[in-house]
Amino acid sequence: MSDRPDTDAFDVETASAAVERVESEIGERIVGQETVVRQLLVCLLTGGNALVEGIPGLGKTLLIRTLAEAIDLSFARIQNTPDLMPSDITGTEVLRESGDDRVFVFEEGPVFANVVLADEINRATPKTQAALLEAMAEGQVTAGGETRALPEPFFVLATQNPIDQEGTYPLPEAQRDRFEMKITITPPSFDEELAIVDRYTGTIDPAPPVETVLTGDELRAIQALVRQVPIADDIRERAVRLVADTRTADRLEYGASPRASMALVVGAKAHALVDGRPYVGEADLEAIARPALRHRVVVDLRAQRDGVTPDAVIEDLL
Amino acid sequence: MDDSVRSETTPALRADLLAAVSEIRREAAKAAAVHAALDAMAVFVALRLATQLLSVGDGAAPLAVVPTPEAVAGPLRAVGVALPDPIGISAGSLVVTATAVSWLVVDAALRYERLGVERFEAHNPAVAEALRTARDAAERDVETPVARALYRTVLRRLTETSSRAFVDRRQLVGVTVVLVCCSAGLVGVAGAGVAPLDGGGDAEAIAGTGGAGAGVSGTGAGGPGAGGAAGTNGGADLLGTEGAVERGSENRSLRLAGDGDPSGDGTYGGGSVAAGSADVDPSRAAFSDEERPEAADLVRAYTERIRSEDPDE
Repeated sequence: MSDRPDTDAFDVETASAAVERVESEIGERIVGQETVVRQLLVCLLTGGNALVEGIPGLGKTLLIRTLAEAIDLSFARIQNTPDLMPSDITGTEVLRESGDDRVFVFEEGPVFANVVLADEINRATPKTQAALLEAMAEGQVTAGGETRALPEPFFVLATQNPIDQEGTYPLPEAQRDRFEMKITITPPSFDEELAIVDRYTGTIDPAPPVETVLTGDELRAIQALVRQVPIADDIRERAVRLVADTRTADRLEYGASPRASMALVVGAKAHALVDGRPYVGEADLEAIARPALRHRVVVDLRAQRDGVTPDAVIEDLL
Repeated sequence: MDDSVRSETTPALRADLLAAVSEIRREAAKAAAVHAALDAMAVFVALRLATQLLSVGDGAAPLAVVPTPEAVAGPLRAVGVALPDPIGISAGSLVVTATAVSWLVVDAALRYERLGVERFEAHNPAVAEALRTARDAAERDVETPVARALYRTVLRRLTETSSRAFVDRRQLVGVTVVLVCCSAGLVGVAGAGVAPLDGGGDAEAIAGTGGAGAGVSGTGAGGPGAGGAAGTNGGADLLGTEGAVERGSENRSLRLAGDGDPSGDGTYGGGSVAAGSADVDPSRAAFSDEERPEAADLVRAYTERIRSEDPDE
């Protein structure tokens, strides 16, 4: 694990400009989805992990791969299936011949990358899910009796397919709580889809090139800077009150945990920094409330029957 | 230390910001004091007017009598206003004064709380959230690079803000109008002849009363503005304390002598009114018998002579 990042390398303006450059590079490949990209970057700057939900074919993999390229981070993809084993993710010890000797060598799994895309995480068995989520939460992996630290920065983007639930193992509430945000990708508009078709059918190249505009160390410095963004007492209290209200709301069976309060506040800080402001505003809190809370609350059956969504309840609580 | 150098350090920026917040609070306190003082004056005058109109506490003995301070009486005397000396302090005056003072204190406190930095922020949205955050951060001694950027941003934006939000001009004008109207009413009630609402008691419309049972009702006339307004406690100060008058029991006969008797000889003796032992001598114009207008022949003769006369004669 590397040393503490150098926060003096950036101030609010330069950090905001750097993030803008990353957004711009992502925009070279991803048409539209500005809100999704912004939420993804905010989540990355908080040092958290994101759960992305959207139908197949919306460019989730391309998005996360582009993000990794723009920030000069190592990228790995895990396609979750029911027969995937925990060691397939974390790595395992293999017997290697070294001259005349045979030694066990730890073969790192795909989780040893800066950016990990865990595709369709709800298709993996609970045991495999738990291994991934433990690595995600602790930033380290224990295999063969030895604990190994994951690289920094470390960012997991797990996807879920909301329409095909057969043969899946939905993440339990406790596991979902470990994700900083749940980002929902919606289909593009008609004009955006036309632009996508034009961009990807006119050439044989798979995707337009992306320039690396930020290094991993610089990302860590900006992540450290996010934590320094001051927040007014009343806005902080509003965030905590909002999370507490989810525990007593009428249409919710379960509310969010204190981890949600932390995610909300740090997410608002990151949102403010990306906007180039050295303070958190009410708008930052409101922009982050839905992605930070929607996967942490459970709408009760009666409300579900009436078509109530977590977003609608959070909107009312705001 | 030079200001530009001083402003580069985070502690100095934090101190500057806290000083700016204190300045905003001082402005809020000043505005609260002005509003509260004006409100309290209006309350004082309105209550004073109400007690005068409703005659509250009339006839009650003063709670205390104190000499008029020369420091107050002197300047007023110089401008023609004479204060009574000593001054009687009544229970009503004491209650009105205590109410006004209480109003001043409570109003000022409530306004100061309401007119705090939050009010300033609400009327200066460009700096609102930043100032709020910077204030909280400075009070918690936060001195990170981002906090330093925030302090610098807020101090720069504060130069473009205004504390006019603390003064509610419409409210000030409204209270001033009420104050002027009540003051005018108080002056009128105290000395300008305005009748009280209950039609009696501490009246400035001075109504004389005739002796009951005398058979004649005479009327007196109270002159408007008969007393100085300053220092007076209504008409009672000018006319004395009003009290009950016993009904008269003595019957007297009245005889009127003079003209009006068609059977008389036409001689007018000057006329007289006698009421018991007290004679009344009216004075009126009289005319001689020869000049009686009833002598129509004589009048006609004069008229014809005048008309026939040559204007040159």
